[in-house]
Order: sequence, then structure tokens, then C-alpha cells
Amino acid sequence: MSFEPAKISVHGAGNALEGFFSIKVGDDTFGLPVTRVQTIFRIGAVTAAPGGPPDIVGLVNLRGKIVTAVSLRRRLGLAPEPGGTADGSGSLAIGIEHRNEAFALLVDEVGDVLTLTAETAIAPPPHIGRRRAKFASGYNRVGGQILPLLNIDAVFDFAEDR
Amino acid sequence: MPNAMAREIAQTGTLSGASDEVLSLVNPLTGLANDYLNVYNEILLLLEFLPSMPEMTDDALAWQPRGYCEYFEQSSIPGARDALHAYDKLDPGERAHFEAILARLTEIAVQAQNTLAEEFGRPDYPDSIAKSCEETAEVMRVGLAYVARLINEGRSATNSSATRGTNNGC
Amino acid sequence: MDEMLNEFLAESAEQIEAASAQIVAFERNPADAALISSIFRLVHTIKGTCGFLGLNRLQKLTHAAESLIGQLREGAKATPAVVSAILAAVDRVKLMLAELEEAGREVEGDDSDLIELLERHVALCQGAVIEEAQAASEPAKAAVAETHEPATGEATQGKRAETIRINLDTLERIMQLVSELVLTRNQLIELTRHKDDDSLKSPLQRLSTMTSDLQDAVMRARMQPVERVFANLPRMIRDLANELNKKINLVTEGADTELDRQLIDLIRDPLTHLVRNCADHGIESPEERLRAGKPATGTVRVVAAHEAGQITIEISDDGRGLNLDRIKEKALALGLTSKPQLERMSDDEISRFIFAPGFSTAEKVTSVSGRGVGMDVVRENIQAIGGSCALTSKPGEGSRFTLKIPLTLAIAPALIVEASGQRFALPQHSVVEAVGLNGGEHKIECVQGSKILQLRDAVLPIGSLAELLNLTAPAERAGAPEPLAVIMRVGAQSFGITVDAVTDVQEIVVKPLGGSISHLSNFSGHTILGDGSVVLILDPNGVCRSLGLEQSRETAAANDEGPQSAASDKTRLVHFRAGSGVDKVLPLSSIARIETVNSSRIEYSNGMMLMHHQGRLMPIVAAAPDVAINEGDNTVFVISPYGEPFGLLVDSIVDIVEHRLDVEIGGDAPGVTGAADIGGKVVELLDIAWFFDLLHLPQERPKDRKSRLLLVDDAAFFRDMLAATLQAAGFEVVKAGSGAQALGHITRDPHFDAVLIDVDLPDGSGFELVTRLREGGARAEMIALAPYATRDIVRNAEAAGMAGAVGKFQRNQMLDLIHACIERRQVEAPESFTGVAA
Repeated sequence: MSFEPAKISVHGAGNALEGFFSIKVGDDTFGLPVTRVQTIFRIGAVTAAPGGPPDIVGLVNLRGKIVTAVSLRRRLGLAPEPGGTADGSGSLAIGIEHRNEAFALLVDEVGDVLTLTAETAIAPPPHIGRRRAKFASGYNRVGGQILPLLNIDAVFDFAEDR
Repeated sequence: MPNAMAREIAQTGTLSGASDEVLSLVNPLTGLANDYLNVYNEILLLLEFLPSMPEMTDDALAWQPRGYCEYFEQSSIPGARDALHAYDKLDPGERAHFEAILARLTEIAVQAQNTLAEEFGRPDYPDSIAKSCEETAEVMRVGLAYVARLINEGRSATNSSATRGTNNGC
Repeated sequence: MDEMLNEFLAESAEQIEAASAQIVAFERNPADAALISSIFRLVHTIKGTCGFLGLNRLQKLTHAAESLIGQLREGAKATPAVVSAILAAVDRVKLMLAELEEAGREVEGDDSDLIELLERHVALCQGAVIEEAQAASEPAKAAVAETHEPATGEATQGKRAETIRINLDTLERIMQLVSELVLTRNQLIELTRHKDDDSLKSPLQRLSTMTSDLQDAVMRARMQPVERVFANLPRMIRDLANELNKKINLVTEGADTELDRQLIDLIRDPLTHLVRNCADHGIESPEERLRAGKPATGTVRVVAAHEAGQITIEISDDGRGLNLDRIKEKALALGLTSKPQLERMSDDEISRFIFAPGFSTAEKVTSVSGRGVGMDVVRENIQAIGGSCALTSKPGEGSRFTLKIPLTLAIAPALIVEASGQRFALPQHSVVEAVGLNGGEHKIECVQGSKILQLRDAVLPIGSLAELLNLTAPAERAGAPEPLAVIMRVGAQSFGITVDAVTDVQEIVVKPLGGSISHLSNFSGHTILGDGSVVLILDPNGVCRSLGLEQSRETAAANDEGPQSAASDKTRLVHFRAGSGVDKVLPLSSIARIETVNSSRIEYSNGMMLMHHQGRLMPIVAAAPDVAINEGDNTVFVISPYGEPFGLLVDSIVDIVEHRLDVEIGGDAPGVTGAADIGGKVVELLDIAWFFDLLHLPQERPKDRKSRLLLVDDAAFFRDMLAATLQAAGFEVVKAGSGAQALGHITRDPHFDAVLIDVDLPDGSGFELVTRLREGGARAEMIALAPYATRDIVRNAEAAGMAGAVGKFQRNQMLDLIHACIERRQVEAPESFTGVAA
């Protein structure tokens, strides 16, 4: 039910990129560095946070730790998942720690780990909408497809929303 | 992190190749032997007595710093071999910290020796060096007290839980 | 070396603070040889370590300071100049230590000015010493004789013998583990609540008790004496007094009162600011004081004390007090109030304006206080940690700030409330009581657009929690009014929130909100309950603000601090219409309840009007001859001056005001005491005694009261939890921690409606206590309390003549049993029956 990925101690910031999970929401796929992922799990009950940013689905108990659940769908402005629960319970989530806060990023699917290198990196395609562009920190071409890398800072920065 | 030797004692109750004397020379808690501090105690004493006994100047100038391994290699006291053995098994981080402090002690002692050498020929010796000897001694005592704590008690309380249990026979 | 540097920094920080405080103390007790030795030792140690670590700049400075201190140790005179020089060195050292910590190494700088100053003083001392050595014939015995006051150094030594140093991280880790333990304990309790397995109950009870004890012990380990916060105050006052040319004496008391580490850090700034304020704005110049007939030296007192679950810190001065006129001017100028509103305010209400944002009445902002940190920030900081800040002031005599701070933040008892299907935790310290709204006795009313609740003699602002938080109600609940009001108190402000239910009382581990939601002012944290669910913790301050209460200072409806409002000569009055004549008033305090009664509820018997009230028929009399019953709703004041209540029928309420009551006695209108002027309007004050006589009611019956329970349990956790649960159910609860205490209560007043006794008490079993209480005069039914009511316990209880036994966590069975007992008594002995539960 939950999965702890092996921690790779080197996270490439420059030329040598390493392992990335491919995560899917709706028709979008993003790359997420394996080193940032602490756990992958299915969330149980969700407690709403009244008055909080709408993209924050609520708070979740992950093995005794309170984790802030954020919907990547909502972040990207996508429609809610058909067949999903109203409060997000039962969704697949990726545990990520960011600025001393424990988050759970709700996604539809988590795919294989891809190895990306400097060679697969490309310049940002011109047609990307502003909203999506905000959440991408780089782009790669993998297997003929363009894979944006998820900009974790932007995903979890809610200051603009206030 | 408990050092390998402490773990060995905790698990098996004995240290391979240990004799009774070793257990009194080397502190199983830290893997260090405070016998080594004699190296620095020597120069400290010399510096303290120098202003009133200038005839000790030659001895003071002749003092040479010696590393931990060097000391025990040259030593004939029983258990010296095991002190080396234990030192080898120390966690590298701990050993580096220990040696850094010793390096500073050495630096202070050598600086004092330089001052002695400079002032030695002058007419108002040893009065001219009285103050600096006193100050050097003060500073060395501070450093030695810290090293002694390192050797006798280790770096932090949480290190010792496993071995303390063993030592008390619980 | 880095680690040694860190250790050094930590130790030196402490030592230099100690040295600073000791030097100030030494200045006042220059004969204290032990003190100056201690100071010397502290500085000497720092100097030595600086030398070893190669911190040359620090070593030079501390060396110079040490020389001068050495002179003092040898008998040189501690003149203000000398002390100031040493203190300047201490400050510089502190600065350098801070820079060192930040940069990781010594920062470049020039201390030659300071070192020269210190050396000059050394030279002066030496010169003086030489002269005095010849003249001096007095031996150093003076120093020995005068050491009445134990030197701080020695005291610390003594204390140190009983303590160990523990790594702060280790302590935090232990604290975390205990928190987890509390959570797991709660989980276990939740899981076994519904099981009947006897074998688990005893070990679980033991675990529970041990967890509470461990929690207490760890809490205590985190406690530190407020002395840490007091320590830098003498120095600060000294510097301030010098700078402002005033004479100020600082008195501190209760420095050994203990407070959680975390809180000590949080109150340091507010406390310092308040003390500064006293010195800066409160205490007058010596000339001014003398002119006012006061001693030239002003006193600032800081007193800390323990008060059941709280620490009170009083900061007071004997200075000029608050300048109310200037405050009024400023309040008007800032648009915070209007002239007519000001007239209706008491002095204390006016003084509270200084807590408004942006308020500062100092004419000249001195370099000391004028740093833009206002009183509003101070109060916010205190309130943010669940404390309160109150102020009283007398012009010409001084002011007093009273801070109340909870003992600890991390683990707190909380009420779990439910609204719109969602649960929230409410810190118990802010909850006064819970009141049921369905019984008809209390209900929410709308007065001038705001919702209020009338509770005994108070009128409280109230709001729905669901509305406040904008919760969407689940379909089946939509529209249904909330049945429960939780009355809360924040500082001086009481208010209520309506909820669907109080589902539990639990000890919760408070966890801070993550950065993404920490801006939500209604919540102060979150926690995981025993059943694993995450709930948000409501912030009483935030809720208070959401209700819009911050602004309504002029609402006369809010509860005031008792004694102050009594002292002022304004009375809260109900202004109403009764009949076609002039409007009427009655003091609010004389009215027990304001009821809205439908005409269908009013009965007639022998020409008298009657209505059901609290299970009895109560007579009603019209407040004026031409007041008649309306079809539909009528307003009736329930009044019980001598115990027996009656109803006063009126036409309508105009307002509830706070006003001076100057009555011109006279006139022969029946039932009227006299006439008064309320805001320019002439009104009549009714004479309640006249109405009472009209009814010829007997006077003996005791006042209606809630049912009174005696709860005997030696574990504070259970006492508090059960008392809260029972109070929420509408009972009055008297707590006793042992059989002896219970007996004491019974002896003082045996009238209880039921007694709940823990079977396992320290001074004998609960069953034995039954006999002793009966002998002491208790006639009420007794109920045994145990972690779980096993068959054995029930049998033993019945054998001991008790009504039964119930588990401490079996809320519903407990309430059922209590109600059953009370009903039985009602039937058997009605004359001793005291009342009904809400």
C-alpha cells in the first residue's frame, strides 16, 4: 500500500540528471525527481481545512504524521477526476517534504522511473500555457514525447493565492 | 555512533585479544586512553614552573609533540598495543575531532616554545616570559580539560546507553 | 573544533548573561566577596576558552575586563563608571559571540576604545588601592558578615549538584516520544471502549495512569524558572534609569516560578516591553515624584506566581498611571470611538485603548520604547499562546499589567466539538461552560442585528461555528438550529459559539500548522485524535476576532472584569416599555431570565396568571396596570429576589444599557421607586419588592440551582475530564481528590444530588468512603467509578449501598445513572431537592 523508494544521494542540478518518476494527472505527465519523493501511498480520510487555499484538499494522517494534501489536478486547473471522491479520500498521493512542511501530492497515476540526462533536456516549447508553464521547471524529450519536470516550489507555494 | 569496539563489548561481553589491563587503560566507552595526555601534561608543567625555575628551559625547548599512535607505539606499558587497536576502530569522525583538538594544543605549546626561544637570551629572562607562560598554561588547561572529558565521557550522553548497560552488568 | 566552538558558544552565552546580572547585583552589594569572585571566575573561564580556540579578539577584551574585575575583587571601589565600563565590555562580548555564531569564526573589529577604557580604570584602581591600603584599617570582615544573601554563584553551584545537563535535542526527542505515547494511549482507549474484554482493562488503566505521570514528569523537565526572563531586567532598568535621569528600583518576586521552555522564549519580549514601558512612561522624574509627595525613587515590580494551570505575571509601577485624557483624545483622533461612547465607558475600558493597533500616547518617543513595537503586538503575542493581558491604572498612583499564561502548550486538554458534520478541537482553557439550547431555558436572540445569548445575568455575543468557518452543512442537517452553545472566554471577553455537539474531551498533542495554512486565524494547530482522525484546533482569539468582537469595545453587553465594574458607578439596566406611561428600567442584575412566552403557555388560576417555569408553576404579574397578554409572544422577566421566582409581564424591551442610575425617589405611582434620566430620557425605576408583596409568595424555598454533583477521584486527568463532561451536560460539579477532601465538602455543605466515587482512592477504597460520607451527612445516591465497570465492581458497589457502578469513559451510561438517581430522590425527598439539570 505504501512504497519507499531507494534514496539516491546525488540529485543533479546541472548537467547530470538522475531518476525521475513519471506522474500523471488527466492527460498531463510530469517528471518528479526520485530524491524528492519520500513515500507513495493511498490516502484515507481527509479533514478539510476551512478557509484554506482551494487547491489544498485537506489534512491527512500518514502513519501518525499530519500531512497537507494538495491536488495537482486543482493546481493545474483541471476538472476533478471522474469517479473520484468529493473530498479526495482514496486518492493516490506522493509524500513530499517542502520547506519543513510534509505534503501529499494527489495524482492519478505514478509510472516508471525514467533516467534523464543532459541530452534529453530541451528548451521550453513555445505553446505551453502560462498556468502549466508555472509548474514546470524544465523540459525533456523522452521516447518522442515532451516531458515537463514538475516545479515543486511552485506547486507548494500558496502565497500568491492569498 | 558507538565505536566498533564498544559494540563488540556490548554484544559479546569481551574484546577479542583483550587482557584485563586493557580494560583499565582504554575507556571502552570512548575507545581512548587518557594515558596519552601525559604528552601535554609534560609541557604544561614545564611552562608553569619555568618563571621560577629557568633552568628547565632546555627541557621545555626539547619537548616534542607526539601523536596518539606514535605515543603508544613507543610506549612499553601493558595494553599499549590494544590502545592502538582500539584507536584504529574509532569512528573516523570522532577521531578527526579528537585530533583537531590535539592539533590546537600542539599549536599553542609550540607557539610558547617559540616565545621562549626568542626571549631566552635577553637580560630580563625569565621575568619577561612569566606572564605569557601563565597565560599559555591557562589556555592549555582549558584544552586539556576538554580532551579529558572527551576521553572519559565521550561526545554526547546518547552515545553511551548500550555500553553503559554492559559496564554495569545489567 | 567546530563542536567545541558550539559548546563554547552555548556555555559562554549563559555565562556572560550570568555575569551581567551578577555585576548589576554586585553594584548594589559591593561587600559581597563571593559574588565578585563568581563574576571573576565566569569571565576568567570565557577568557581561557577564547584563548584555546584562538579567538584573539575576544581573548583580548575579556582579558581587559578580567583585569578590572580582578581589581574589584581586591577591594577597589565599584563606582558607577567602573561598573558601566565592565557592562560595556560584557555587551561587546555578547555581540562578538553572536557574530561568531553567525559567521562561524571571529569577525574583525576594533575594541581598542573599550580596552583602553578598562585599562584606564585598572590604573585608577591600582593608584587608589595603593593610597587606601595605607589608610585602610578595616579588615575584610565586612564582606563576610554581610553575605546574608547567598551569592548567586554558590547557589548555582548548589543547584548544579542536583541537576544534570541534557542535550536540548534529546529533551525534545523525549517530549516527542511522550506525545506519541499519549496519542497511542488515546487510540488504545478508543479501541477498547467498545470491547468487553476485562483482561485488558486493568493494564490499560495502569498504562493510562503511567502515561499521564510520565507526561507530567517530562513537562516538568521542560519547565524552567522565569528567572531566565527576569535575569536581564535589572540591567535594563539600570541603563534606563541612567538614560532617563530617573531613580528606579526593580523588585522581582517569584523568579523560581516555572514555565515551559517554549513559553519562556515567547514571553520574553512582551515582558521586557512592558517593564520598559513602566520605566519609560510610568515612573516620573525624581522632581515630579517629590512634588507629588512620593519618594524620589520609583518602584517597578514584577511578580510571578502559580495559579492552577496558569502563571500570572504582574508588572506594576507606582508612577503616574495612564493619562486617560490623552488616551481619550488619541482614541477620538484615531477614529476608534465617539464622544458619546466614551462617556459610557469605565476607566478600565478607556485604558484598554492602548492595546489598539498603532496607539502610542508618548509625546516624545524615547530611544528606549519607541521602536514601533506597540502594546497591540504585546497583547497579540500573549494571546497567541493562549494567555491574556489585563490592565488597571490609577492616575497618580501607577499601573498594573497582569499577564496570565498557560503552563504549557504542547499537550492540552480539549473539547472536541462538532459542527456541520466536521469535528474541531477547542482548548479547554478557553472554555467556561456548555449550555444546551433545546431545553427552552436558553435561546439565541437577535438584538439590534447581532445574535446574543442571555446567560444568568450576562448577555453574551454568540455566533454559529459553522457560519464562522463557512462550513457547508451535510444535506440532512441543513437548516436545523444548533443545539449547544459553548461559552468561551478570551481575556476579558466572554462569548459563545453554537455547535451541534461536544463529542469528547481529550488530551491532545498540539502540532503546529504547516506553512501553507498557518495564516488561517481561526486555527492554532492540528492534532490526531485517538481514533486516528485529523482535527484542526480552534484558536479562541481567532474565533473571537471572527465574531467581530474586537471592534465592539463599546458593547455594554460584554462581561467586564468583576471588581472594576462594581467600583465604577454605572449599572447595567434593562430599558423596557410596560404600559402607556413613561418607559421603565430595572437593573439587569435583578432579572434572572428574560423569557419570551407564548400566550398559550400562560394559565389562569384564581384570577392569577401562571406559567410553567423549570418544572413548576410560576405566578406572573403585570409591570403596569395596562400591560395585557398578547396573542402570540409576550416578554416576561423572571425575577427571584428572595428565592421564589415570579414573572413580570412587560410590553417590549427597548435596550440594554450601562448608565449611571441617579434616582429621584418619589411619586406615588404603584410599583415605582422613582424617576431617572437615561441619556436624556426620563424613565421610571420599578420597585421589585412591591410586586413581590403583591403576590404574597413564601420566602423560604432555596433558589433554583442546577443539580450538584460531588466527584471524588485522585487522578487530576480524570477529575478534569469527567468534570468537563458533566458540566457540559448541565451539572454543577464539585471536585475532590481524596476521601478526606470529599468528607470536607460534605461537612461544609451536605446538599448534593449525587456523588461519584472512584473505587480506587489513596486513602481507602471508594466503597469504604460511602459509609464515611453517610456518617458525615450525605443523603445523596452514590455511584462508583472505575476504568471499566466489571461485574465484580458492580456487585461490590451494590453491596456497599451504592446506586451502581459505571466506567469512567462511559459517558452515556454515567449520565443515565445520575439522572436516575436524581429522579429517585425527587420522588422520595422533594424538600431537599435542589433543582434540575439543564
